[in-house]
Amino acid sequence: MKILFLSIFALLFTLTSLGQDKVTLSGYVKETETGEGMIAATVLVRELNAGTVTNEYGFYSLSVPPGTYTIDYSFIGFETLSETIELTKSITKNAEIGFSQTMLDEVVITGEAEDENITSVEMSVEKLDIAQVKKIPQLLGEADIIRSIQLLPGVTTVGEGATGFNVRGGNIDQNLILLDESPVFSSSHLFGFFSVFNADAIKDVKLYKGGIPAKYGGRLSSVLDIRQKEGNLKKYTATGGIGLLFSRLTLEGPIVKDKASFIVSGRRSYFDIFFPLANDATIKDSKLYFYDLNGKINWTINENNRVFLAGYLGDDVFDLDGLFSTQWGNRTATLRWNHLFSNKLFSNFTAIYSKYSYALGFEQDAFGFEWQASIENISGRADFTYFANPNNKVEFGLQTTYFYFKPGTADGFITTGDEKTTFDFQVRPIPAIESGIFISNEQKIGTRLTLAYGLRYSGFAQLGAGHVYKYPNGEPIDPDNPSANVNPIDTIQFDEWEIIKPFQGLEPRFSANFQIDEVSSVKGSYNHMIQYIHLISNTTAATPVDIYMPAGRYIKPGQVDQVGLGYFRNFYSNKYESSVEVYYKYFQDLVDYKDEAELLLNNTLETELYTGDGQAYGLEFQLKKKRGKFTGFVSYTLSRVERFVEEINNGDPYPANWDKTHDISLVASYDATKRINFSSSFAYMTGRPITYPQARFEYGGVTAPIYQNRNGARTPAYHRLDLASTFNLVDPEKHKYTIDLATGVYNVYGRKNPYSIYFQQDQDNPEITKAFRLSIYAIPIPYITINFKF
Amino acid sequence: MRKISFILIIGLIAFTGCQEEIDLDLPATEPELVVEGYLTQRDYYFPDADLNCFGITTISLDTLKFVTAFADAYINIDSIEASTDVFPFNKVVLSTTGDYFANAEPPAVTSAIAVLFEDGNAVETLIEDPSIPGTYRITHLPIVGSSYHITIDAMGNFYETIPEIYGSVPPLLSLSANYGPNFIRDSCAYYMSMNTFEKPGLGDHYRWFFYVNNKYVSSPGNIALTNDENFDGFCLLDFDVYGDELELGDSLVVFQMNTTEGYYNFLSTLQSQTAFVGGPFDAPPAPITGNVMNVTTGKAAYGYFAAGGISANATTTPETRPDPENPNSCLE
Repeated sequence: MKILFLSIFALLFTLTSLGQDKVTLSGYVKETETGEGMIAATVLVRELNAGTVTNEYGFYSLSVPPGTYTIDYSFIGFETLSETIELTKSITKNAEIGFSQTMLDEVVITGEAEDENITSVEMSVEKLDIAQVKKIPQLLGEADIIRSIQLLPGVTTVGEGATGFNVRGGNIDQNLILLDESPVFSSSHLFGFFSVFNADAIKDVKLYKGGIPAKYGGRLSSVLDIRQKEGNLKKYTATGGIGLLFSRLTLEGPIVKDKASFIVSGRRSYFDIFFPLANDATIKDSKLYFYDLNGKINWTINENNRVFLAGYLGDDVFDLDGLFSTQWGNRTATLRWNHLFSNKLFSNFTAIYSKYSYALGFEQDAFGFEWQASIENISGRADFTYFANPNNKVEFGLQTTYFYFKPGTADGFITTGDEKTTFDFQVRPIPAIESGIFISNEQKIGTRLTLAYGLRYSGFAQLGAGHVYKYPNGEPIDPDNPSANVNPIDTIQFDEWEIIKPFQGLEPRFSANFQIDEVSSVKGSYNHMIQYIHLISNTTAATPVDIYMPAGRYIKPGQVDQVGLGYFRNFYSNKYESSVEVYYKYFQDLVDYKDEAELLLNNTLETELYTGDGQAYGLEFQLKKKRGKFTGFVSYTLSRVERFVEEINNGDPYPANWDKTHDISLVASYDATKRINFSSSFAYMTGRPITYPQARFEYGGVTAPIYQNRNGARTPAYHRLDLASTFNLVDPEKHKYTIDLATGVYNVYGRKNPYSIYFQQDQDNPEITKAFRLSIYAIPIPYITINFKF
Repeated sequence: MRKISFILIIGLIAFTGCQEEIDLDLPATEPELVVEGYLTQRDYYFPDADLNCFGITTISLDTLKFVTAFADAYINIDSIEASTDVFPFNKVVLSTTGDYFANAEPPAVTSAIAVLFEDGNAVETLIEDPSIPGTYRITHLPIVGSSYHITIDAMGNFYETIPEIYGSVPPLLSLSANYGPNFIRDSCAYYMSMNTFEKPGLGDHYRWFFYVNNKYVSSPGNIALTNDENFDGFCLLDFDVYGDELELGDSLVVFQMNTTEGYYNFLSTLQSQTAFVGGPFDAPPAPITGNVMNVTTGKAAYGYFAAGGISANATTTPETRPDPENPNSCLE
């Protein structure tokens, strides 16, 4: 650890020394219309042909020799602002840029600076433009960030109705989903049919699939960094939509013009709005809905200090008149303070609270049961960016998170006659602490080569108070008979805050970009990641009520090494962007499960878990058309995901549930006129792995399948076409408000995509066994929504 | 849990999803031995009057057996077997596996040599029933606390089962048909209601067998099991482990069996792999591992040889509803 600190200071000292004879130009680049900081806007010093891009808060800093320069502030789709500045000393210069008047006639897919895909050292990164997300045809017309991500290369899902998403062979718990830096544990509503992110409240979405920077840690496969809008600093606006099954409303505006702003955004489904009309008393009093509430306040105290307070609240609720109920939801809160120590040293101090809680209830006259679980964390972090000179940008920082896992409590009752007996059960809550310290540098060497290298040192400890079990031979799995039940033989007690089991590790990160010419580059990356918490789920698709468990005495942290190589090429003045990437990942110490593992309310959960390794490799291709009336992209992924667990499948490798050999997406949008847009989306992917029976046997009148080769077969291929259109009901050139009519059809040709194929005996004659296909959304599903903005 | 999730998801996709039968080609396989065997006592505690478990839970089962008031309540196996279509107790049935879409009764394995062992000692060579090919009858009387296993010489291989410890079972004190609402309370019907108690001391497992109108109920959804994790030593009143509606005038016979943890796990897997399948949140396909080993090949064979005590009770559903004019009257 000492060495790491010494390295940080040595590097800063060296870089500071290098910059002694220079002056610094720094400031924020903001959007004219809203006053919000622009992420990844380009700041170019024309005379030096040197530049930088703004960070997540719109801040930039450039150190150059004294002189008079022409500075270009630009962003794709926006007017370039050019200013001549005489730099004799370090100064602060804020710039505001607005939509390009010359480009108003054509659609531009934004989200990143022009050429950034070629010049940036980042690879395996996908940036989503919210305006484009809103044009992609979606289920029931609800703009959906997670479903849009699933159209990108390297991202798959187990199937319709599956929570979350899988990135380059990783399980859904291997995605670090950050909403304004606060972790979100479940990204889906209604079992994966909709995402929890209300697109009206979102400003920027960035998905790291590889080459993950050192500032991120704690998950193996991806980082989905979502930033909420900060609120319009100039004027009040209202945005919303009214649909058949949901509605949403976003209000934003200045609290103090150009100084402080707010945004509040709400969305609620009303599937249950018709329940009270039902004749059935149970249905009448039932509930089925989800809602999201986002809010943010942004206050610029002065040039050197800005404060943000952001929050999110969302729940899914299903209550069958008390007979059965389930609920799950995220709560997050983020308090951030941006502080400029100098025009070269940008800092961000963040305090984060996040809680994901979920519950199931069941109640009849004679028996009732309520189960609850949650994962709660409080986190603090400090991030610093040191803009040493145009060729070196150093990021360093530290963070620590206190977790409180509650894997499950249950309260129940049994009524016998007039007597009510209650019982309760609790799986021991587990406190834990995770810390990380990191440093990285992005270094330009000459005009063609850029390197980004960094190191993260992370540690994790499961804490008392509590106890852990001791098992025969010290292990919860009997190596001679792995499927056998192993019972504890003793317990070890730990006091409050006493460390039960510590872990630590170094996580090196490296990326390189060699720019072949102005329109093409080759990039490579390597990252090592450690994940200290595991999602415990043994169903085909994870559910929102699966539990999380931290690494501990018997559960190791997961680790992955990933290498990637890519070629990036733009065509026709950046109208087209293309990329080809290949990657290889090797996973270690992933959890897998005994057959028929008991995962809920199990204090000896470790006796149900196996540990194994895995690998994933693939090739990803993408071609985007970013300008013109016709825009869109084509994605193709060829990949393989395998697991190796000694106790499963006779130790032979088997494909993961989300292994899809071929995955193709085509998304197209066409602006027929200024007021009419048509869009389409087509997806094709290889069927998911599935286990078919080898034979059958009869026992007690039940005909049972004999399964041997795990995931040895595949369901038929998945494909689906969606269409949508948007019509501006009022002419945007004549009015200051817009009203759009959005219509579309999901699964246009009613493809019966198999979610699963399963095997059952005939109900009347057990001698006859059959195969069945279960399809979700097997018919075309139309929608109509009115969207507005005032 | 999986069942509940399935109800939810099915509700959500009810209007847009579909399930349909499809044709698949699956490879042919070599047959392997399947064992279904139950060792239990010859007489079953079968009370001829409804009892209440309060007040007797402190009496050990061994003591209960000698309470004279209950002596008449024991009935012999023969009187039950003769009136049912399937009666599995004190038999070992040998058959073979088949191709998944074989769609025929599994072939019986005849002329096997099956030997019963008690605490490791051979106590009986089972005799094949000449009228039911592949069925080998057990006559040996088990002893509570002893271990039992069988060996089988058949199909050119030698098989052995993992021993089972024979445990006693509490009496099924009463069985009746209660009129009440279904799960979502949208209609009323007669449902099974039984009274029993759970043996004090954690670690007990139970299975129930059902006969409706003397017909063995064999559907995978009706495999009824529990362990005593949440009920240890409880007096269990008004329990419905059958779950389905009973028709007016139905006769219902219930057998309550004490099982080992191994047999409980086997049945639990058998049920989840046959009854709870196809849903997004169901457990993935898994081998249904019993306690039969093919010693010759060193691989697992199929099925289970179980040992455990059994009690029983019977009832008949009334011929009329309590309020024939208003089938939903139980909602009040």
